Amino acid sequence: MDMTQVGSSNVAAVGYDEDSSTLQVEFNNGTAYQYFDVPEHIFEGLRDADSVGGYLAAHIKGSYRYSKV
Amino acid sequence: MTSKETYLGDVQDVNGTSVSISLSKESLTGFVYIDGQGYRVGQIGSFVRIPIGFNDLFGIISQVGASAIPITQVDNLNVGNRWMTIQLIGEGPKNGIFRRGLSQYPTIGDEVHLVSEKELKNIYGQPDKPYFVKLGHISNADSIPALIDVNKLVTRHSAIVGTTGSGKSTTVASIMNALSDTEKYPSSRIIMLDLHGEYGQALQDKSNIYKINGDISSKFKEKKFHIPFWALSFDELCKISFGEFNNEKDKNIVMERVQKHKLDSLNNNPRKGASADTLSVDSPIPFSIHHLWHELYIEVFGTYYKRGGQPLDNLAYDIDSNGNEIRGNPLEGIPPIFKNVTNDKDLDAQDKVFHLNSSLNIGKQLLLLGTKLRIPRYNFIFKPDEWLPDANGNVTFDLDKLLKGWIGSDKPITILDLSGVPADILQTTIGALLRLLYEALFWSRNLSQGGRHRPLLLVMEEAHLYLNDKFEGMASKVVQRIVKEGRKYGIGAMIVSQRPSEINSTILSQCGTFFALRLTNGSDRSHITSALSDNLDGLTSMLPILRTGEAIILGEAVKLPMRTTIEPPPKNRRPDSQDPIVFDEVAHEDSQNPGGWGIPMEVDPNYSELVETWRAQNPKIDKIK
Repeated sequence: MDMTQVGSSNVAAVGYDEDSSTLQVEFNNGTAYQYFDVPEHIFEGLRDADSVGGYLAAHIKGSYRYSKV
Repeated sequence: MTSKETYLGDVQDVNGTSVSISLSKESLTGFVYIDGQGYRVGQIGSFVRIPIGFNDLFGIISQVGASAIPITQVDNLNVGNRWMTIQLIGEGPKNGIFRRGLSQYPTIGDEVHLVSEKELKNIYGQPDKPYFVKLGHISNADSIPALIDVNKLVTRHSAIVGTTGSGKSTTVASIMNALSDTEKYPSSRIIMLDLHGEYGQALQDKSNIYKINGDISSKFKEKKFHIPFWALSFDELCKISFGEFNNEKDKNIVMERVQKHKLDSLNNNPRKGASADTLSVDSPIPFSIHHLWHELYIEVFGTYYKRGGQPLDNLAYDIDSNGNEIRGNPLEGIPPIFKNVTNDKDLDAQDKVFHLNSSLNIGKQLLLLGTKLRIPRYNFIFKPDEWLPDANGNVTFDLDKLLKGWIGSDKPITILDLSGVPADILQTTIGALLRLLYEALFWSRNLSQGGRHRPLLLVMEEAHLYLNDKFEGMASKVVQRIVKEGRKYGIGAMIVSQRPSEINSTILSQCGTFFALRLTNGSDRSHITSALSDNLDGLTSMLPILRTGEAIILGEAVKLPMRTTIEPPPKNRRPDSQDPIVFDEVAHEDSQNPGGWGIPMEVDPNYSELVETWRAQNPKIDKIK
């Protein structure tokens, strides 16, 4: 998965796989998570958000299931 | 009198190494200034000096106040409660080097003085000898480094104990960081048994990590952890594979078979050092347990036709839908299927099916082993990739490659991440692993890579899990051997535990150096106190009130018992103790945690994935690429 570096206080990079609708989020502490069945527009919103951490908290955390990778 | 301001009081009573002192009225203010620096008088654990002629005796304060009054002095109102008890620990010439042990005792009336930081430095010493490593500094005296002697630390064994959250893992990481300094120790050799996978992050650039199902492409470049079953002794192998036998006879027959397989393998593939005469059932010679299992399975469960010749040549395999005999597959752990016994009168003698009637009574053991040969979580033992022998006992790699990976690699530390070992064989696995290392280093003691010439430090995390007193574990036996004899062969143990009272007391008492962090539980504390060789009750009574990251280091690796503030490694090099977060302390938008009780649950939680991980015995679901 291609990861895009983002400037944020907690998120290091985000990436998206269209085929499986999987969003990958890497935090600054080195842990990475995959969120499943995430629509592409949510990923784009996250990538382009002014506050990545804020967008993640508002639209992704608690909305999609995930697994640590 | 040299220094009036350091004067505390006078010796009143000497009883062995404990000395009672009456404090002078002048020292009662409680605060003394020496060279502009303030000192509190009568702090438990601090040092006092008793000048005697050209020598100074040193002691540690263990008791202050009413209970320190000698019984005969209870009514002496002149001194009241101003008493102090100290434990003598050593002596040194004035301004000379401090040594443990006493050549003389103080007597009544000798003056007792406070020890200033300058003198303390003299006691602890500041040797820049490379065999000392610095772990932090003495508490209450920031300028004095806490130094430990690597020679004694490694060969005389050590124990690190402390309650959860007292800074144990951080202390271990600090010690590991100090010992793996490649400039100072270019060939240090450390193996860590990491039961929860905590240390990968902390020591990633200094270590190789071996993990069951390790993934070389992962963040920590984990390598695969294997223990080839054929390297185990017969007892270890039985515990892991067959389980208990019903009787001695069965066990002996299986033992004979293992020996035969090993012998055949050796004849096929001569290996230097092993010969048919010296071969024993415990020799680490590759053989195929899969084929042994298959062979025994046929003998125990097999049926045959009476058609002349040996019964084994006329086995009555069942036929599958394609008309093929179901002979099973040894390597996959798939058993053959046999026809049921039929003794029907109408059948031809040719087609009657009989039991092989083996005298072996190990059906249960074979079924159990068959399961283990099939289940992936046992693959690290039974299907160790390049170490997996074929039917003739040929392997791609021999044990040398395995040992080289563990103790001969380019990095000083090898972390064996045992977080994936099934709980029922954890003890045996660790026992077998340690025995392999011990035997290898013991026999190679004359070689440059042997234990005597390149000692190994074994760090055993969460030791109470496998060095427990309650059950006769294999691990406990091997570690007892290591702590008793390892010293001579260059194998040192470092035992780390939060529950020292559950550790076998022989093991604990052989540890020369203790790093005691905060211990609140009474039984743990008394276990430690009784294992300590120093008679320093005052110090051990401080154990419940130590700050996080503070340790009392005592024993052979330090000159003197010292209360030390351990210097933690940098933030990103700390062990990841991985406590789940219930509610994150930082706000949602800054949190690096995706879960916890503070975040609403997803709309459609998928519990079939949860079951998937359980069935597959693999925390990673299939969906993750």
